[in-house]
Amino acid sequence: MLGLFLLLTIAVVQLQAISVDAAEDDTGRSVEGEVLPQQTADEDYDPEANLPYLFAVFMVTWAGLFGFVFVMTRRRREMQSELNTLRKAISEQDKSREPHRRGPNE
Amino acid sequence: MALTLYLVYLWVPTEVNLGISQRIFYLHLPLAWLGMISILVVAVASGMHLITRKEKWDSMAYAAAEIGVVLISLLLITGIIWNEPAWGRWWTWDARLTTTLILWFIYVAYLMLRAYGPKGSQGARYGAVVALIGAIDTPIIYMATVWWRTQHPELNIGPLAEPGGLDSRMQLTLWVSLLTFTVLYVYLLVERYSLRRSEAGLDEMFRNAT
Repeated sequence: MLGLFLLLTIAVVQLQAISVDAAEDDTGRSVEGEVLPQQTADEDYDPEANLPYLFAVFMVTWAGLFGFVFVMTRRRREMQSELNTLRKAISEQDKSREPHRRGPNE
Repeated sequence: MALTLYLVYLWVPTEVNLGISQRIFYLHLPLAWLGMISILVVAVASGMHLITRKEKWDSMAYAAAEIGVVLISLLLITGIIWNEPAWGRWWTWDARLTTTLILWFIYVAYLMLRAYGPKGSQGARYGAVVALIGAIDTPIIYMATVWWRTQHPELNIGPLAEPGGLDSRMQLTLWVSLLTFTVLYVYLLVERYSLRRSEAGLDEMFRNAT
């Protein structure tokens, strides 16, 4: 659930970032109203030209971190199932020893 | 984390030379910082394990090494992606990039040694020695931009970083991002450490039961 929430937040933020950058490009000014030097000197300058690289870095970083968390969760689940197997083996071992323990008393 | 995302993608001004790709910096630098911290944790925990022979230190070293490899892998990948718009090529044998790649190989070797090498206390001791040797690379990576002429930008954080190199809003975004990623790192380290301790305990129970 937390992962889904984060992914949604990321998607919304990404879309907003793109729209804000597009607005900057239209006016030729940054959000704070400062004229960017490259925009005045070079008409071809496009500050959002490298957006795919930013998006790729963002995706790789979060995929890596979520992947690690996923692997940890899977290991914990496997460990839980091993623990259950061990508990079962111990209880069966105890049951098989029970008659021998009772034997001399009876 | 939401605040960091807001600052990185909406609030911080776009750098004039690199354009929007400069925002990669706010993810790339925390990964580098935490990768280095992770290796220091591995070195300290390995040293403590060699001195005290306590298993908890070995578990801490293993957990930090695993997270360190994930972070350094992400650091290298994000660096490679950023190189293309910034330097016009995906990879260059720059001093800092090369020493970081060497560190990555050393810690992958550490994890492989722990997975396929001798088990028990012997494997832990071998691993501790490899980790301590690998940690020597960490100060070399940090000082690489000072000792050699490199394409990589100069130091931004740490004792040798020059103050005032960044715009105040960029600095604030960087520090918030560093703080957020550090909290995430501590959480991952604690989780992985407790999982490693449980795994070790379970292995011991299996050995006793059989």
